[in-house]
Amino acid sequence: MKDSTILKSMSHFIYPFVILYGFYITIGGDLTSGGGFQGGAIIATGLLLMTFFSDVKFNLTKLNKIEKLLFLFIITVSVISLFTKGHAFTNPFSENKRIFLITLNLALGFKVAVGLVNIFESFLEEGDPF
Amino acid sequence: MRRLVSVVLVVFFAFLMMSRFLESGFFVNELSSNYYIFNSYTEVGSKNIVTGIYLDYRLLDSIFEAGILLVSVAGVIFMSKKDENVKR
Amino acid sequence: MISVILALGIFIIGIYGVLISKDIIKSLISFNIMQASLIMVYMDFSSLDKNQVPIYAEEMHKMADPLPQAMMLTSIVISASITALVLMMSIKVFHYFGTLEWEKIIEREEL
Repeated sequence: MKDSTILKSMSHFIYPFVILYGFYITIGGDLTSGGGFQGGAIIATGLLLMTFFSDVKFNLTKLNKIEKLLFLFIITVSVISLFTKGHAFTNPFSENKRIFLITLNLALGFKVAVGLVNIFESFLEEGDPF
Repeated sequence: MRRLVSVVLVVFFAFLMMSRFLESGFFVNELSSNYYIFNSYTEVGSKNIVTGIYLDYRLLDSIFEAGILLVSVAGVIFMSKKDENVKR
Repeated sequence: MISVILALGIFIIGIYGVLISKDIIKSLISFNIMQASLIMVYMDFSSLDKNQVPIYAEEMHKMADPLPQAMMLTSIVISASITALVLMMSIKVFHYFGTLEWEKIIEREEL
């Protein structure tokens, strides 16, 4: 399978714009359409374009650790509303309510992006005969 | 023979699925959607109502969905290791 | 009304593909086709007469139903991750049995 020049040069040019667009959809999730899961898929696409034109190797053990820590972080942030409002899994603030929403959206977006990059890299590594 | 049986099964299944609409028409109840539309901005604080649903009213579903992603990634990584190979 | 009949047609195509196919990967893709048609049915029932986007505005009397949209987000993510898992399993089946067709795998397993 020979390398394709068009794919290499175009992905070198376009990958920062895709990652920026993914961050815009993730962070502005409570003012317009979008949110955690949708933005996470777009960030994963931007990160995977980086493997086409260079030899950027993602370390799978580090990505695994990041994903597990993000999952525990999401559960911890959700339970702190047990102390302020009485019942768990809701918005704990009463005044600046957007901090909770933006934090959860960013955490969910990163988790989905890292998980999808993990799956893709496992498929590539399994088919490698060396 | 196999194709004939499968076509008959599929047509019977389609008739079963459409019989709900042919009897009583297309109606939906509006109780829950009215509550979500009118009370979401004051309780959650977000202008997007869909974000208010999956981040405040149904946060437990989103947590378990993140858990599904974690378990499936674990399964994919486990099956892609190559220590002891095939038997043939 | 019309989109429900269309979704039913796509569902029939999906089920027919699962019953007829001889490979593993074709039946997996037919499952994904069935999943897509179910999402279309839910989206149609959330906005029968009302067409406004559910974002807070001044007048809110024609807004679409926001609850099925949130449920379908979860469903899409679940379907994608299960598809990835089953694809990895089919690679292992190919390494172990040497073929990817249903009948030959059943024959070779009985030996």
